[in-house]
Amino acid sequence: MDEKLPESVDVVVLGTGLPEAILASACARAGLSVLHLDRNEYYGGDWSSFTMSMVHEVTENQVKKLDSSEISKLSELLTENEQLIELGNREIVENIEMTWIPRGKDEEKPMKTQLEEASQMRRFSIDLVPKILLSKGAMVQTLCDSQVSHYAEFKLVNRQLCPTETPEAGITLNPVPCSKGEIFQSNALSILEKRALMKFITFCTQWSTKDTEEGRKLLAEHADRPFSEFLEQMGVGKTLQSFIINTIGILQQRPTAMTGMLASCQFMDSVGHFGPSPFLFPLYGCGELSQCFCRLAAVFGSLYCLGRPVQAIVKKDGKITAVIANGDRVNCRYIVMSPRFVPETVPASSTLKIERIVYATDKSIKEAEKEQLTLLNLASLRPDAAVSRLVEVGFEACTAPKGHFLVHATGTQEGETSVKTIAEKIFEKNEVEPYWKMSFTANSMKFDTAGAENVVVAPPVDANLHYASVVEECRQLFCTTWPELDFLPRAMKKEEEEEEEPETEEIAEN
Amino acid sequence: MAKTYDYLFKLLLIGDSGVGKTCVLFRFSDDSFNNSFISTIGIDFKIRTIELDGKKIKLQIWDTAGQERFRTITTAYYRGAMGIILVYDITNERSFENIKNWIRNIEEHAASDVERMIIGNKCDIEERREVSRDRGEQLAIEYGTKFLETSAKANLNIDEAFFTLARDIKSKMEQNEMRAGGSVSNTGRVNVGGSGTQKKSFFSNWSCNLL
Ligand SMILES: Cc1cc2nc3c(=O)[nH]c(=O)nc-3n(C[C@H](O)[C@H](O)[C@H](O)COP(=O)(O)OP(=O)(O)OC[C@H]3O[C@@H](n4cnc5c(N)ncnc54)[C@H](O)[C@@H]3O)c2cc1C
Ligand SMILES: Nc1nc2c(ncn2[C@@H]2O[C@H](COP(=O)(O)OP(=O)(O)O)[C@@H](O)[C@H]2O)c(=O)[nH]1
Ligand SMILES: [Mg+2]
Repeated sequence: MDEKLPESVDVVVLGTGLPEAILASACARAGLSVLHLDRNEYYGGDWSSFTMSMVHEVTENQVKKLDSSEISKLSELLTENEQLIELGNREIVENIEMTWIPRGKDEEKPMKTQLEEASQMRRFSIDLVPKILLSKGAMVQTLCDSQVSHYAEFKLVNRQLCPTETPEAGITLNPVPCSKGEIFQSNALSILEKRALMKFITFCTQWSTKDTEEGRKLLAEHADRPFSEFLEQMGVGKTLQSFIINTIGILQQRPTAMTGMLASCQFMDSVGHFGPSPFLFPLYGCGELSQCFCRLAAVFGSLYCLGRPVQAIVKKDGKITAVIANGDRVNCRYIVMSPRFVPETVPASSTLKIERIVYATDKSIKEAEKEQLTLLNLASLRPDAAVSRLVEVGFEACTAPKGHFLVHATGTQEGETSVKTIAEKIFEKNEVEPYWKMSFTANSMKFDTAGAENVVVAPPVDANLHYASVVEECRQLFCTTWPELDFLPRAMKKEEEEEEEPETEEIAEN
Repeated sequence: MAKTYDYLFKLLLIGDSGVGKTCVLFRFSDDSFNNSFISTIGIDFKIRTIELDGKKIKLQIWDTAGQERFRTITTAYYRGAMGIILVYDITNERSFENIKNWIRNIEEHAASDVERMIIGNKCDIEERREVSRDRGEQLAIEYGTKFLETSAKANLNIDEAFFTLARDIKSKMEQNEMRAGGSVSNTGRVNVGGSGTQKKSFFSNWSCNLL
């Protein structure tokens, strides 16, 4: 227990957010020695999931600016020509507000007390960055190849809703077909329309085998015109057009022929892999994924130490040579860090502000016989915004006590109406009374450089629906930094796993 | 494909670094012992199928991947565990005292009905003993768990420990099954690691389904 940190490693990774965890696991897997540090006592950093009690208790380990006496003390650890550089501490998650909302129906006993008395607070898993996985997307592929899939389980997102708003009726939540069955059983479509749909799908399957340039040629001058126009030209009627555009809308807003085709293919590719819906959500919340990658890293020898803030890094001749944590110097050849720690002298190349609100409720926004995991695309109500969506997850995904839900609103800050306003309208219309809410702004910061050649800045938190871009960015960073190494290559099968296959299939088919 | 077992139990080993968890695991799964400090590198879990009352039980036993060293076990490690073996080293007082902390950790992160068991390992080195058998037993009573002193090196009580835990899980499970009317409810969870055996995209045969 009283172990000291190693004197030197190949790679020091700062922060245990998902991208840092993916990179740590890729390094460890490739045989590099890795020391993975987090200044907080918990995994996940800005990508974490918290229980209800943790989210209130958590005070991030604030790193105080070093004073001159500390600097001179740390400087004793330096050798000739080395320079001490303080780490940045950028506000990634800011303006955090959390409140328990008093409700008439809890007059006898506030919900907080009810939950505490039933020891239900730890049953929540509140994501800072909620996302879903495409069944055949880059994340699932990476999980399978690396066998991190051993450590995680998923639930299908089994309901997609699309809101429409009229002055008389307010917001109505309409089911969007998210499976073959749902489309064909729909009596909103005539036989002719179903034929047209089939024709469109056949076209998609053929189109998807082409590379982008060839695909673009096939769409010809339509490529950058609205998708609806292109569909029209394909003989797809108005009703079916809106069906298709709603269905893929969560992947691609305001599609052009080109982006619409890409999204349609992406959607179709993922449908039916693990169930009718193309989307998966991680059991116990999205923060679980970073931990799973950390486990893989640990299995391949990465050393983990939480609650260990790094005070400074050491630079020599344009390269980082060491980090200093707890007064200990650890020499390293590379540093991977979350954008949070990029020294303050380095300017961000872009910052996107993401608005996030999480509500805890005890009634679904659209009640159904069985508990549903719901994805709600709010694009039609916030046409000016790039991202606007709700995700409702509950007990079945192990993110809330039985009968309770978390509703995650995520939106970029454009236009007049905020996702918060829309979410609260939806609650009111459907007589849902949240009893708790948390809001914050997440800053998605990108950097072109971190001020030294052997520093890798991990991708920031982002507002994308799924993980394809995070995984892709990590892969590219890894391959640029270590061109001679493979990024999380397919694991060789051990005999124990061969034997395991029937079991996996059995679970998958349930 | 026919199932090669009747039950699958996920078990965990937990305890301070150096108490012999990895050795206990290897002794049970491979009947081997290595005197040097086994680096936990590459060891994820081990499998051994045992038989109890005519039922084949596949034990999937997970190692800590070394993350206990700085008490940085991922909460994900505890998910889905049905049994946990808490290990201390009878020649190391601190490792015994820390059992309390590990139990607190389990209570926080593992399922509330997880079966637990405490073992005091390295009982082959009597001359360096710091923790009496009696204190081990007392602690187990305090937490309502079973207790054994073991040696991975001398192969003492290792099989007994796993068999005892497996038997407890099995009988609890059978009781629950009787109460639930014979079948465990299907929660529709998805395991994506079907290693390349995923179904083909079924849009390729859409037309057949339509007709
Ligand atoms: C699962 C678990 C949970 C525990 N929880 C607690 C707890 O909540 N409170 C408590 O007091 N004890 C806790 N302990 C006990 C703790 O590990 C020590 O045994 C105890 O605090 C005595 O510490 P020490 O300084 O004498 O020695 P050691 O633990 O041997 O530490 C040696 C030195 O390293 C430092 N050190 C160790 N780990 C860290 C770290 N992660 N970050 C920075 N410095 C570190 C110590 O402060 C000390 O200076 C826990 C143990 C376990 C196994
Ligand atoms: N004498 C003796 N030594 C043991 C026993 N079990 C493990 N060891 C030794 O204890 C050390 C740590 O064992 P290891 O399994 O790596 O511990 P872990 O960190 O808990 O996984 C190694 O040097 C082992 O050889 C045992 O039963 N008896
Ligand atoms: Mg070990």
